[in-house]
Amino acid sequence: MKRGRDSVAPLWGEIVKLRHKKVLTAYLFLSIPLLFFAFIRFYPMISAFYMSFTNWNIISPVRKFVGLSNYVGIFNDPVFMISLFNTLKYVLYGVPSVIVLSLALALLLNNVTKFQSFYRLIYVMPYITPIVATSWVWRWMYQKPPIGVINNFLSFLGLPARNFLMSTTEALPSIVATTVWGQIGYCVIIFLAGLQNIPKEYLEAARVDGANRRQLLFKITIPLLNPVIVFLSVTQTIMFLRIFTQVYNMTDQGLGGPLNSTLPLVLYIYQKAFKSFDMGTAAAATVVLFLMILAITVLQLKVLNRRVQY
Amino acid sequence: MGKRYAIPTAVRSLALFWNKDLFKEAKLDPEKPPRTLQELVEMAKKLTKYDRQGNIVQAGLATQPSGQGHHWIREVLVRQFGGAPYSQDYTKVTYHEVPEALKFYTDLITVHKVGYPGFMNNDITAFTSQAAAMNIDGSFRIAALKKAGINFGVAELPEHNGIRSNFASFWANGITKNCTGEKLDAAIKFLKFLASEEVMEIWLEKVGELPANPAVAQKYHNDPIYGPFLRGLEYAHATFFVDETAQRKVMMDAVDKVWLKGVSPEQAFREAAQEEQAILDKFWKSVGK
Amino acid sequence: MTRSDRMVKLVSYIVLSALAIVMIFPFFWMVLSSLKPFREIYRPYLFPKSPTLANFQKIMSASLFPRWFLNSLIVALSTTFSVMFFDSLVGYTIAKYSFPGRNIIFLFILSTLMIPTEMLIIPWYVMSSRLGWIDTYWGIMFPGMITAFGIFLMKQFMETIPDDLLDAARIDGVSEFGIFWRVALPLVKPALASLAILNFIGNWNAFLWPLIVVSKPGMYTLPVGLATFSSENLMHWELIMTGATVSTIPLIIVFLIFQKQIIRGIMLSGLKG
Repeated sequence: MKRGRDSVAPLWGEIVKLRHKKVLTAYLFLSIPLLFFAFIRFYPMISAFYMSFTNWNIISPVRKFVGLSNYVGIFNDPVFMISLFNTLKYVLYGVPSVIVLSLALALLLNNVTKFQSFYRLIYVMPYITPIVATSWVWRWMYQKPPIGVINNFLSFLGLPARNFLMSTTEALPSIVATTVWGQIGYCVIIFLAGLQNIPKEYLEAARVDGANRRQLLFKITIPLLNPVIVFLSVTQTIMFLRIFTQVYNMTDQGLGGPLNSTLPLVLYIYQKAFKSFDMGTAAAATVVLFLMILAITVLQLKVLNRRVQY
Repeated sequence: MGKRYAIPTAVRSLALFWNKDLFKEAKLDPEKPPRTLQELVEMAKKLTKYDRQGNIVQAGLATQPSGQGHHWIREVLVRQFGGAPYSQDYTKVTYHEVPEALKFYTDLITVHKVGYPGFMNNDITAFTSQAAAMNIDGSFRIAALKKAGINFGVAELPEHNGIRSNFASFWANGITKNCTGEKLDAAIKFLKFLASEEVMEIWLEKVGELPANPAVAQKYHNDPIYGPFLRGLEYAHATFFVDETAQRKVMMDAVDKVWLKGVSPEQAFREAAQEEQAILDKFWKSVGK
Repeated sequence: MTRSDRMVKLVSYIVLSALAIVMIFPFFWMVLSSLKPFREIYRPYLFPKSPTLANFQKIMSASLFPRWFLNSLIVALSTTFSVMFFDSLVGYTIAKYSFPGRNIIFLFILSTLMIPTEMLIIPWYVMSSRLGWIDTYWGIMFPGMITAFGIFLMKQFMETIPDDLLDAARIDGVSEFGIFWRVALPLVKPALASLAILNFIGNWNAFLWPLIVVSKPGMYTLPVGLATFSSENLMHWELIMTGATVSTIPLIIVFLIFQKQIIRGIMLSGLKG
């Protein structure tokens, strides 16, 4: 095709038209999703912030601006403080347990060649089943004699029966155990993927250099798994901070008992909002939850993220 | 027009259910339920079985505050020990003046060891599976118990110091302010239907909801199963709950504090009264009283 | 293989098997309990002496379980299709188009991941009751129609598509949308499948929001229905276990069929994160 210099201008015009068309297309494609996020994620978040400064109780049409009094209120509410400490307990008991157990399992699984997918299947099953179902099954298993399977097993071993969900000290760890049981599968799979990503050469080289099994594990494997450990640490922490379904289904009347010993922050929020209809207080508590998640996540990323030098 | 109408259509009260077969097993007369709180405790002790390690495997009396237990404490035990749970208009909590009521209940758990909250997961499960010999429950349980094929008897709640009391609650159907004209006529017709004898009989038979219609109630006055509930209505009190979930929790917590944490009934009841008073105050303030 | 290697392998097998038993035991017990008649449910032995399917019959015919199952299916399928479409469209757009504000928009979308849903449920509830979304399928579905996580995932995969392919199609006169639909999308099928499966599972199991937005028992999703059913039937543990079994079976079947995609999806979410 012959084009002279004077036809560069129309060609340039076509290029510009095409670029415009692409930009417009991009905006067009993004329009609905962006509206969605603005309307479904951002606007409600701002709404929640605003609500936390009012004393609205959803039935009455009166909504008065009350400044920080909701926040003062919840920090003066012993039940709120208990739920705060409980939530931290869930994290402190649950996250290390999940990570250590899954890592151990993944390491063991990495060793065995036969049946690996069979074991993987079994470990993942608790993760994909509805939490409501597994919570009720565990609730039943935790019963005292004569019907609790776990206690019957304990007495078979000659050990005394435990109160589990009925004890103010054992209930929270019991729920943590159920939650950890449900999460292990997910973490094992991710750890396995991470382990299989480690080039065999590193391990071979170290072994040739005379490193024993333990050194291999702690000096090479685990440091190289750091990104995975960080990822799981952060995501599991966030999950435990938001725990709700297990507690709702494993405690008497879903109240987070006995005596608020298992009450997490989200259940407190749910009760305040949808049982007591105290929207302002509930919204304030959700803001606290949000800030907690933000702060703890940032802290974790700072502390745990280290560049590993080979 | 502009007025609201409501009438109670179904009523419920509490009674003592007992398992006649378990009574026979424990060498107690299956036709003689306990009539006083004293007899209640004695018979419950005889009816309780333990395993080798001391765990209850059969409860003499199911104790579940989250079931009807908290009603029993509030409107029955408190009055039987000489007090009243609330002021007449239900705005002030007064049950803390009678800690003996709470103590009687928690002694069942800690001293006489005839049951504990959460046994068999809850009282209904315990009684239906014949792991509890007695239970204080509402009339709405009758149909389910019949279906489970249990040989049970019903008695009026045990008395104490010559005082009888009961807790009653009711379903009310109402016509709203905005209902007028044809709709109003239809609504009235429906209400009349609900209150009619035939509906009351069906309700009674299918579920166990006591009839609010006095004519029907009279018919069953001496019935072995419905009779005790209906007779109990004569001296029953209905609690004005502003937030039943929260108020129930207050009582559950009070019992838990005593049997799980060893707090004294006096202190537990006092703290419960404070918590409940706060709930009541908040409510009455919000409606402008 | 050295002797110590063999020892380690043996120990591994033992530990893995022991733990597999712990992992699977609750399911085992749940299914066995659902086969027990009422009079056997409170007996301490594991295997039913007179196994029966009556509980399943009762749940399927005399309760709302089938309805709840249908509700969950409708909600999970709808959101999954929506996610598959919109998340990949947005991922594609961000990966393959350059336009002012591209990075800001991407950050904006990612930042929504930091907002916990617990903070949004109250405003969502208020919004839903004002707009009449309570007790409707839309009310249950809307929060999950487009996900930031899926957008992130699809963007990563769309980036691996060579631009030349897209330009070639453009020269051939294919519309912009056609390029997305007929050229790009088929090339990321594995990632799309994994996203779909994970999304389906997550949606099926959702609890908190469906619990709040639905008040009519006929509109409950399966998890909410199971929770309500269990609380109301505290004297019928054999039915509760049956309900739990019924809630679990569909997902186990989905899992067995789509194992590969599920596991790959989980790995993708972990490694790309």
